[in-house]
Amino acid sequence: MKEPEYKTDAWIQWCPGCGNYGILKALRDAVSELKIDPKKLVIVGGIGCSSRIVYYIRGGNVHTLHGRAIPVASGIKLSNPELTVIVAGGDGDILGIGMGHFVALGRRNIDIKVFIHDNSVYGLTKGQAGPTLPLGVKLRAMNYENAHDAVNPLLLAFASGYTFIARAYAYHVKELKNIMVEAIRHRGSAVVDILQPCVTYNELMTRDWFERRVYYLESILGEEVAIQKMIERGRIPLGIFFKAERATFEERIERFDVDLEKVLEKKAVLY
Amino acid sequence: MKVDLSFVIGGFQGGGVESAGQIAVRAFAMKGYDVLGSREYHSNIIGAHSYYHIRVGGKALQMPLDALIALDAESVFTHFQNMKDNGILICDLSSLEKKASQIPSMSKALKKRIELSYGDFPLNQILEKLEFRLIALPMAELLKSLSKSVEKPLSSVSRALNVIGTSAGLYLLGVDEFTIRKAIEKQFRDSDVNLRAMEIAIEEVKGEKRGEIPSVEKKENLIVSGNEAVAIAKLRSQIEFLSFYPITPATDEALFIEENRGRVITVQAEDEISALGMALGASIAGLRATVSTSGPGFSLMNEMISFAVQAEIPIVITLWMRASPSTGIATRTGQQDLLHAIFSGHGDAFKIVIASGDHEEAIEDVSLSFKLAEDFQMPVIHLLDKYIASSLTTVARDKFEFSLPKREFKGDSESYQRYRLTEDGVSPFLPLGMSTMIVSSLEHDEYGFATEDPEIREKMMLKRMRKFKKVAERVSKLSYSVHGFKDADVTIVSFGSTKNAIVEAIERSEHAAKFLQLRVLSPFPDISKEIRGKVLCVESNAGQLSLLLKSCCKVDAVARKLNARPIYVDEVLMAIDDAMNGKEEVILSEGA
Amino acid sequence: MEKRCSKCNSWLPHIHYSYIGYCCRKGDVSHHEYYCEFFSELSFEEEFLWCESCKVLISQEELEDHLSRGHCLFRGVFVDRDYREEIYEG
Repeated sequence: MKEPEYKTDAWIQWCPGCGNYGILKALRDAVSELKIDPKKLVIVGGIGCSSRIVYYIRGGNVHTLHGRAIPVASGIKLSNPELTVIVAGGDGDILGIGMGHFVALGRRNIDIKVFIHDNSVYGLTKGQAGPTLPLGVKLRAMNYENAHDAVNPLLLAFASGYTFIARAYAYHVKELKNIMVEAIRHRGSAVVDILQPCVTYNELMTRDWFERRVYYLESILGEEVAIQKMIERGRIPLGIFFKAERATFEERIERFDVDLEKVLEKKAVLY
Repeated sequence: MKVDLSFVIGGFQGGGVESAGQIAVRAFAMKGYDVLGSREYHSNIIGAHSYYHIRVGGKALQMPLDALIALDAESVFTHFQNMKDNGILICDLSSLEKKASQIPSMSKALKKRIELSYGDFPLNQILEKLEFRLIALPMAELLKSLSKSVEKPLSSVSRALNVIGTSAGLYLLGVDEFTIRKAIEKQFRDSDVNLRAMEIAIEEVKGEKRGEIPSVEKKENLIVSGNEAVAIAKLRSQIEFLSFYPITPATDEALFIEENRGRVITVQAEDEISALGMALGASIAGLRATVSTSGPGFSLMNEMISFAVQAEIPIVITLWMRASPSTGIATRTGQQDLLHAIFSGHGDAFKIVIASGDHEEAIEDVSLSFKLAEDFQMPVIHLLDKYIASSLTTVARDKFEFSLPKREFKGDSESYQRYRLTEDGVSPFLPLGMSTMIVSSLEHDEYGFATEDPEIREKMMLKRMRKFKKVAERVSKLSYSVHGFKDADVTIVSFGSTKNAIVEAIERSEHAAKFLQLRVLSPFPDISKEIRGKVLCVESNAGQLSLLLKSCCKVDAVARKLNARPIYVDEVLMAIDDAMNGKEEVILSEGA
Repeated sequence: MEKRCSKCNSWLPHIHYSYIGYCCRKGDVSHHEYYCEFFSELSFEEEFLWCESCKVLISQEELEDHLSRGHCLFRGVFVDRDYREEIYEG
């Protein structure tokens, strides 16, 4: 694997032990394995610790606004289908403020990959509860117990129309890389919910906590079993839950030749 | 004798006013005249009052009305006070029995005003005392004759009634039967019922005194609404990407483009934030992209606009202003987003704002906007309003004879710097796919990497400020137009769709007046050398342009239109008189 | 009972012009004072009725109130087939 081609010389700002290191390695390995030309690789980030990944991997990258990576990525992909477009953002970015766009992407099934760096907190703004933090949990930086229940990103993705739904874990780099490769190869909108510890603000969901709960699905499941696995409690299944072949948004839009002169004719004053 | 007419066709929404208005506009256009047809309607689907106010022989609306074609009682009540003595009032005989209090769709406020001025009496009692040429058509009878003479069942009663009323009206105004027939044929796919309706109408009013509408020189014209004009201009400008969220009065523009899109990628977004986000993505990827919206949608786009400035992304945003604040009145006009447009996007967010005065300028300004957006890699806000969007007008066909060349990219992709520091502040642009790069909403170095270094930060701020200065140099010659007298006693300053009303007013005013029509509002032009005499600022908002003007000259009077209706020639004339008489604040209140 | 279309169970008044309406039996419009051999008396059995005086749909509960005020009630209302082409975006 030719790692140097995808490295940049930016100093990586993440805390030591941050799950983002695992995700970064897996992503570089994945694009390297797929031999994607950096000029044609587009990482689109929102705002947050995870979105900084746009500076750490060589490509034609875009650092957008909090929650708004998906619309920008959609515009890019529709304009140049040859590009490999990957959205990188935290759970707060993609499932909080960006929720509307997350659902809309599923409805469109544009060929974009969404990698959620899911640590259940808003790290960069110092540890507020994230959309995937369970009800009643109180972490060290929070004033009170979490009064919001957690959203289930996999079920939501399924309800929205995503055609590739997977969950992974940041510190199982090889498995994560394999899932990323499958997601990128898939034709249609793909989401990978990548669970990761936040060493600074999430003292509950540590490496240890995750590693005692995760296990891998044997194979891609049929719809009904997939949904059951998505809502499983106690243990955390990882792997590809659901995959389907459906027309992408690009394939749904008809493009044709139009004669503007005829359009003008219809508006002409005839004497 | 020059033909100069102002008349209204009114009826209920869904009841055929649209077709009637188009027929009337087309009929006069076919005689060779410049026609303006302004549509006024409620934010509702069926039943509320709507009308066309049509001007023939001029480009602005004026009062009083020469004629009122009132297809129901509500139309008479709404407009009769705006008619001139001996004006033609065509209505349905059965409308005359109605009282204002018996009309559920009419606003309570209007009912009260009528009651106060005239008492709650049936229409015929109120009209008896007034000096109109009342032509009450026995519509029920005429419908019976129509029904008898056509073979098929009448599925569209309202349209038939509209055609009867409008044909009678056009005929009495002086349009010949042949032209009315041609206008009706063009309007309906299946026109024999309506042509028969026209014949019955003309038969009914044959004995009445008629006006004269001679044919004049026929030009190669189109009849378009503002939405359509801008849509066609965008297609001519070779746009490649359009994203939109439905919002009145912008939707029709987007739908027109979508219908005739050809190879243009069109996407209906889930909200305005996404619409602009997608268009910016397309622009970064090298496509000519645009979005179209109104005030509330533009509010949502603010953060993205700041992004476009920081990341230096070319984009054209067409802002069709409407009555605000908040949801306001979706279907009525206003100019209340001037400051919003200029100061949109948090931070020192330099952008270009261009305001078109009418349909023709709107067409020119579309391609100008794209050129400036791409040359300077920043947002351009094209400011228009609902009045321009929805009014039909005759436009010379050759105004659409232009084409904008596609975007071109040249450059070395090895060690490409998206934000290279240059003398004029503009960095060479390569799209995604042609090079590795970073486009960032954070402050960045020349490669696009995020930085907090004080020196680089300062350099990037100066770069963007330098760029904006270059814009000012580039647009200096087109940032405003001067109309009227050089040595004037009063200088009117305004922007946008007030243009034609003011141009006409200064021609007719007894005072020597000059009009500075601002076209580029950001960068704000220096007009101090053009000021002569008193300064009168005219605008349809609470005082946004006057706020900006006070920074470069003394503003003696402000005329404000606040009732969500377009500006009329006669009220500008009145405002000029008031300003010359020392009045400092004038409120313009015409329009129904 | 006075026979006229506007008192017939098969007749729907036009949404705006009260003197004309649509006959469901004949599939054609007629004047409100006309009537034919298929006349049958108007009954108010629908869940929602059209009050022509108020130009709104009312429910059965409101029927008494409107009748007592002398309003004209009907089983429904007739809308021109092509009204969609005559409206603008709101």
